Amino acid sequence: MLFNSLHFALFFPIVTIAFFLLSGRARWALLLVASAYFYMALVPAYIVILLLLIAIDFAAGIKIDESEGAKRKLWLWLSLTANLSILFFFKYLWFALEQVSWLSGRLGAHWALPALKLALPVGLSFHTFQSLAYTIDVYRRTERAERNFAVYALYVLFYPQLVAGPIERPRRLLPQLHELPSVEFDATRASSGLRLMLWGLLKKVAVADGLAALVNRTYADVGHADSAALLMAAYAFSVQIYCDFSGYTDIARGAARVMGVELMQNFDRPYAARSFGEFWHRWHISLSTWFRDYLYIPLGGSRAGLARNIRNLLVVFVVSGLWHGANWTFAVWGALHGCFLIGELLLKRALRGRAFSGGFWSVVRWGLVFHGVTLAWVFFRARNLAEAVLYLTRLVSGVGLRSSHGHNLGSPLQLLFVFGVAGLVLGLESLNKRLDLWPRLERAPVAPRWLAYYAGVLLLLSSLGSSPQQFIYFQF
Amino acid sequence: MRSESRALLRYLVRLLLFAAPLFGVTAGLELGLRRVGTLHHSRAQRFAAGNLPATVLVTGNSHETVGVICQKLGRPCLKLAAGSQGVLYDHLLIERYQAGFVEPRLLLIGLSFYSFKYSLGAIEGWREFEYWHAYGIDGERRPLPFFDPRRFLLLATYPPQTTLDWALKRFPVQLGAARADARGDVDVSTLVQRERGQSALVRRVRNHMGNMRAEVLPETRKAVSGMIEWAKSRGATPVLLVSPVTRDYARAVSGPELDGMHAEVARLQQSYGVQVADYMTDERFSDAEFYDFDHLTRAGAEHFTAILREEVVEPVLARSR
Repeated sequence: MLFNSLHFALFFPIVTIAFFLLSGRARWALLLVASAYFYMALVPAYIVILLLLIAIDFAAGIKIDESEGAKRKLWLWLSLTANLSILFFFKYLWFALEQVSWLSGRLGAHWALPALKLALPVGLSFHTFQSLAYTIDVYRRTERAERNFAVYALYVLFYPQLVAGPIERPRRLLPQLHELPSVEFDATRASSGLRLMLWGLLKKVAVADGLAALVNRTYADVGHADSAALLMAAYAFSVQIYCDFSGYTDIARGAARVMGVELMQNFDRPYAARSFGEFWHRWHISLSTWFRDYLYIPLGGSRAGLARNIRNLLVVFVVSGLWHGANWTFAVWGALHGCFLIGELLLKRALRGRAFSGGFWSVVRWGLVFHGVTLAWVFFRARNLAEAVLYLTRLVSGVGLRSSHGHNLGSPLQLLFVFGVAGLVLGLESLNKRLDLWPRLERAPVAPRWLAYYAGVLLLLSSLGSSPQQFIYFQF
Repeated sequence: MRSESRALLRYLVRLLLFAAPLFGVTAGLELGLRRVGTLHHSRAQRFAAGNLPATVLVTGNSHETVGVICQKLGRPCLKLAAGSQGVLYDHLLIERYQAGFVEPRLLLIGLSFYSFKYSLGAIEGWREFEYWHAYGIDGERRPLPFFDPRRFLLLATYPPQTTLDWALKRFPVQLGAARADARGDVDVSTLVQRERGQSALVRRVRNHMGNMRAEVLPETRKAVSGMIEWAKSRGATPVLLVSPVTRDYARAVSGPELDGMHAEVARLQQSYGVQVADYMTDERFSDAEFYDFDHLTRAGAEHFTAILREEVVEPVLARSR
C-alpha cells in the first residue's frame, strides 16, 4: 500500500481510531492484522516468507539468549543464513546468474539463463536488516531476547516502517511496542504526527513527483538529451530522491507518532553537509549507522591502520550500494561514495588538522560535496553503466547544446512552479531547523495555524497526479 | 465513556471542523465537473445510440479532426478522430461501437509521425480518464484498481489548472456538444492563425515528441493491425492516411522518429497490402492553409477533403462496389 494513495487515506484513520478505541493486548493484535494487510496490499503471497522469517528469528533469539558457546553461534548462523538466503534468492540470484551467463559467453560456453526471475518482495532489504540487527544484538548480549511473539512480530511488521524503514534497532523499538497497550491518546502528539505526515506528503507529491516527470523524460532517452537538460535532470534527481525518501520517512514517523511510537530520524538536511562524512551522518541515518555497527566496526573500522581503514570504507560502501539493488550501477554508486570518503580521509591527514572552515571555504566545501553526491546519483538512477557513462559524457562534452532533439522538459511556467515548490520546501525545512518553525506553529493561534495547514493541504491537492507514484525506495 | 475515548472524539470533531471547508470546496468542484459535458460525452451518446451512417470511417487525432470534413466527402461519413487521440483509442472505440456502424466500406486510419509511439498517459494522462468516464474504456487497457480515486472522483482525473479554468467559467455544460456535429465535424472557422516563429515551432515539435514512448510501440502496432483486420473482416477497405503539415513542421520532425513511422507503414503495407495515402509533404498545400504548423484552416481542410474524395474515397469505393 502506498502512503500517497486513497487506499492508505482510508486505512490510516480506520486503524488509528480502532487502535485508540481498543485497549490492552488487543492493540497488538490489531496492529499485526493491519500491518499484514498493509503488506499484502502489494504482493499478498510474500507474507508467508515474512512470517516464516519472523518465526525463525523469534525462536533463534530465544535460543541464542538461553545457550552458551558454540550453540549460541549455531543459532546465530541459522538466523543469518535464513535471512540472507531469502535476500540472496530474491534479490541477487538473478544478478549472479546473469554474470555467470555473461562470463560463460565470454569463454565460449554460452550458458542460457533459466527463466526464474521473481518479483522482489517489497521492503525485503529493510526488514531483513532490521531482523539481523535483532539477532546480532541478542548474540552480542546488548539486547535480551524478546519473549512475546506478538511484540517481536510487530517489531518486524509494524506497518509505518515495514517497507522502507527507518531500519529500527531493537533497543529503541521493542520497549515502545511493549508500551502500546497502555498508550493514551494525546491530541498534541497526534497533531504533531499528522503535521509530519502532511509535510512528508508535500515533499513526495508536490516536489518529488513533480521533478520525477522531468527526470524520467530525460533518462528515457539520454542519447538525445542535450547538456542543459541533463544538468537540470541531475540536479532535479538530487532533490527528487531526497524529497521522495525523506517524505516517506516523515509519513512513516508521523503515522507511528500518532500511536505513540517515536521512530528514529532518518534524514537531517543532508544537502547542507560540508563533507562527505557529514553527508552520511545526515542521509539515511538508520542504514549508515547499521553498516557502521554491524559491518564497519567488526571489520576493524578506523582503528586498524590507514590501509585497513581504506579497505573497510570501500567494502562498506560497495556493499551498501549493492544493498540498494543488484546492479553494477549501485555498486559504482557505493564505490564512488567510498572513494569520496577515502579522499576526504587522506586530505585530512595531509592537512594535519588545518581546517578550511571560514565562510568562503564553507561554501566551497558545500559545493564540492553537493556536486559529488549529485554526480554519484547519476549512477544510482541510470538503468545500466553504459547509460550512466553516456549521461556524463554528454553532460560534459556539450553535445547537443543546439540539438534539434531538444527534450520537452515542460513549459517555463511548469519548471518554475516545480523548482519553486522544491525551493520553498527545502527552504522551510532549513528554517525549521534554525527557527523551530513547527513548535512555533503549534503554539500559534488557531487562525494562522489552520491557514498554514490549509495552504499545505491545497498545495498538496493541486499537485496530486491522476495516479499515485511509487516511492523510489520501495524497490529496495 | 472512557476519558481517552472522549479526548479522541473531541479531537476527531476538531479535525472534521478543520476539514469541513475542504470537503465543501471539493464537493462543489466535483459537482461542477460532473456538469461539464465534454466532446467525448456528446460523442459517446451518439455512438451508443447506434445506427450510424458510416460508409467512410475516419480515425486519427486532431490532424484528421480538423483536416477531414465528413460533410464534404459526399458519402455517409463518421469521424471517430478526436484531438490527442492515439491509434490505441481509435481501435478501442471501433471495438466498442462497431455494432452501430452502418455498412462501413472505407476506413481511413489517420497517422501522424508520432502515432506509433504515442502514449496518452505521457503528458496528457488525465485525458485517459475521459475515455473511461465517457465511453467506459479503460485507459491504455490498464484497468483501474478499486482504490484508484479516478473510479470515484472527476477531481482526481483533471489537472488542477483545468478544474480551476472550468470553475472560473462556472463549469460550461455545453462544452462538448457545441464542438462537433453528428458526423464528428468540428467548427474550425473561428480558429485564429497562430504565431509561426522558430521558437513556436520548436515548442510544438517538443510537445509532440514529449508524448512519444518507445514502450507503447507493441501495443500501437497491434492496434493499427487490429483496425486493418477489423475493416477487412467487415468487407471495408483500410487506408493509412497521413494528413498534410507545413513545410517547416515536416522539416523539423524529419529524422529517426519520422523514419520510424515510415518503416512501420511500409511493414503494414507489406503485411496487409494496405493502401497508403501520404499527404504529409504534399506540394499542393500552401502554408496559408494552416492555422498553425500542423493543423489546416477551414479552407485548407476543404481543399484536403476534396483531394481525399477524388484520390482516395471515390476510387476505393468504386473498386469495392
